[in-house]
Amino acid sequence: MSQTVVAEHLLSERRPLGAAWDKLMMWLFLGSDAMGFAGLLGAYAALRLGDERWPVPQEVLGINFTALMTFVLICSSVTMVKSFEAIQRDDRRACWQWLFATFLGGVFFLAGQCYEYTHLVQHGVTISSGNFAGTFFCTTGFHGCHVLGGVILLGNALAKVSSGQITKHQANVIENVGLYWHFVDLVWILVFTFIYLV
Amino acid sequence: MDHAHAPSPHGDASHGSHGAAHHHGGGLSYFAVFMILLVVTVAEVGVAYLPMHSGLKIFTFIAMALYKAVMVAYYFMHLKFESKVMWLVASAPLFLGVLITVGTYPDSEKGTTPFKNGVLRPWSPPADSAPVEAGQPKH
Repeated sequence: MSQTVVAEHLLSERRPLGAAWDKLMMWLFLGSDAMGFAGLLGAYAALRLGDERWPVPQEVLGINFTALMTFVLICSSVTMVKSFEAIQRDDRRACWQWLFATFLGGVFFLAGQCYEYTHLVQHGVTISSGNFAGTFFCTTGFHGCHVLGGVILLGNALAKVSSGQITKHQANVIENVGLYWHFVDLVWILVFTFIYLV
Repeated sequence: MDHAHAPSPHGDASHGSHGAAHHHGGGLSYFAVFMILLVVTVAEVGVAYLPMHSGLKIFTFIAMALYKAVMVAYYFMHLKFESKVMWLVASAPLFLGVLITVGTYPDSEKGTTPFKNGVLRPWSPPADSAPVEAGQPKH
């Protein structure tokens, strides 16, 4: 298949699996990315089941502080979906404002994670402190990298909305950024439960 | 934050080439979903401090987390507008996670002690002979 044929195929009206190409690709990326998180959480479960000296997570980690971070991330998911709703109405100003609120939520989460890590390390909990700390830092760090990626994506989208490169006709860009951001939120819900609460 | 129902992501002209599937929104508003997520998160923290049977507590945590995850995927990620095949793409990692945990359970139960004691050395050459215990005659 020549490149022209491939390009025509991609730009055609065909909707594989009932979704637009860009959205389908985002979903497939998120599905494969979620496999990585599934592996990390699976490894966490395996190590935990085999370690008799596993600490009670709530005694090591700050549940209340992390619940606040979870709350902020959930709020940012709502602002993200409101941003998409706004760009569908071609209300670029509202879209930018909701996007900026989402961006701030992401920055707050990252700052909270930096504070949490600093606090833990200062109290002697490091990545080499044992199975619990090792899996904790790997899994939450992997998620934190995703949040950082999301914040960069949001910053890029903010610039494009303010410069007029994203309007009602490019709402799918905001939708795909939103899909990624909601995925980050969804994964955190599971990470918070399995690593902090269970 | 208004209380309007979540609109369909395909429901207007913003998706020039995506407009073939036209769905209508329904169910909960974004605000209602937000409130549910908030209440369940607060409930999770509350359960964490409750003196409960550990098995029941774990089951409650997992049920609440899965409920929240489904709410995010269904309403915020608009999975409710997608085809069933997309549902499969989205839920495949969950099956993998369960498979990994269940599959490694028999091994994980044995614990990590053999590694700690240096017993497991899969790539080291085998010892020439087993150490002779005191008191046993050599053959």
